[in-house]
Amino acid sequence: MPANAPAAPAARLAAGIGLRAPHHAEVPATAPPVGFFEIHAENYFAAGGAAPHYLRRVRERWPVSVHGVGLSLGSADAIDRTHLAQLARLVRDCDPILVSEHACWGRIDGTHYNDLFPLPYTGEALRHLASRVADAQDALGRRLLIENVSSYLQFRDAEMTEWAFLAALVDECDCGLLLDVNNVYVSARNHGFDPLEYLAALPVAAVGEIHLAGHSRVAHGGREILIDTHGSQVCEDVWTLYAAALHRFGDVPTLIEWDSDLPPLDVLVAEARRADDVRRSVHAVAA
Amino acid sequence: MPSLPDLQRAFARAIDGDAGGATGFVHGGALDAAVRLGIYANNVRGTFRAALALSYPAVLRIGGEPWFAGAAREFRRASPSRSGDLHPSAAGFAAFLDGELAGTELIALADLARLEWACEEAAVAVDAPALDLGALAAIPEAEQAALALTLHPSFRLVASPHPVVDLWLDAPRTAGPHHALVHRAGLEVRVRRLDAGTYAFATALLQGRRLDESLDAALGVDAAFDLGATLSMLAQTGALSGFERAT
Repeated sequence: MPANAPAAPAARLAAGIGLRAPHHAEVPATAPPVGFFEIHAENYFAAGGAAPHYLRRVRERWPVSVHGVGLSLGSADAIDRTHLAQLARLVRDCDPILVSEHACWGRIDGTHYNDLFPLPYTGEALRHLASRVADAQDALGRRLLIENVSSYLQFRDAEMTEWAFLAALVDECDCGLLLDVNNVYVSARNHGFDPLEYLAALPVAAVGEIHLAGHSRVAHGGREILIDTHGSQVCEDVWTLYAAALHRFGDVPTLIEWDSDLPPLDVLVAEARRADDVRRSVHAVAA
Repeated sequence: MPSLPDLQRAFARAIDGDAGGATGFVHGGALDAAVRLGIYANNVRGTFRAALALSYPAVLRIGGEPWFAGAAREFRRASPSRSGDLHPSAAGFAAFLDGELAGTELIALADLARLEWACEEAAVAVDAPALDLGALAAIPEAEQAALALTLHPSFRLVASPHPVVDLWLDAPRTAGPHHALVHRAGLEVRVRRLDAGTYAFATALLQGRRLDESLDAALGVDAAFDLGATLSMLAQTGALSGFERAT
């Protein structure tokens, strides 16, 4: 283990995968060898039926993490109290190991775009996001991990880098970070920054989870831009960056994210196994 | 430099097709600012279309992809999402299609959407026990008339002049009108075609009317309506949760 790595948590967790409706029945029936399952919070807001049923089944056997995609913490709109209350109820019901949301916005003047739009990295946006994360943490009674998003544009009036913004956010509201290594890679390629500089700027103790996912490459006017699609395997460059992240942040829980063009369960499990191989190679975890 | 709310409003206008205000806030570089904003607009449309397609697979199957993507785009314009959970925003698609498809040969898709949304509601309705038929049978016949049945919370009814159940099943079309009961039994959403008398009976139950009143409603439509057979059908399929003595 590198000298600068933090002490690994006492209970190391094998890599996890997302719990998705097409795999609901197969997961408890086949018990795939993964460390945990992550749910998109909004997909489990239902009062009854299959989603809560299978979440209970999965929760009996595995740790679960809750990943919100719709709270729109960075919006200038007032925080959606109904949504926050639904999230709080879900967190209470399934007692997750981790709860996360995004450093982004998606709603303005009551209209929700249901996307992860980037924030301008300004002092104003930082103070706004920090106060809302603090508010959400109070409502949930939990520390939130805040995830970096992929982006396809940067704002002219940015006053700091994305990595400085996230480091300052941790200072401001004592949240944790969910480091999406694929998103760092996608944004680094799109904007021309060094992903290792990004990782080096984040506070080590704050990173509580890592996401790995696939992206797609799209040509616009002869220029290639990477789009975060969560619809394919993790690329080799992202695996390399993942190893660098494990060196810096320790053996943090890792999730394979795959949302569109969902493959058979065993493809996801194979990706999780590969993440575990990288973890073992970096941290010499006993097999 | 715009305030955060002003920047977000300009960004939102760009997503909705008017990029004029936002391009000045965005670094161009290798790609035009408008192209960069267009990537987000495309993602928003794609996410909304995909969510709508999950709720309305039969409408998509019959309407076809180019039409469905266009309908999703117009529906989002008319009725944008208000929630961080996209699922509820799909609720008004049938009403939107009523207007969009009026007078066209695709008009049946509006009622098909109504049937599919009933399935969506049934899928997420709160859990409830199934009726114990033995307990019902133990009530003396003379007292049964005054009972009110408790329907399963997933219980929904859809009526259409079009053969929507056949369209939903992708089965050969029988003549309309179609009356459908939608409910969830355990984890399974069930769609069952009802005859007109049974539909009148079920409608009265859904309105909270007593068993004898509901029977009258059914007999008013179909003199041959069979109460016993209907009750046992509804109980066996799991559409009933219990009963209480009406006051």
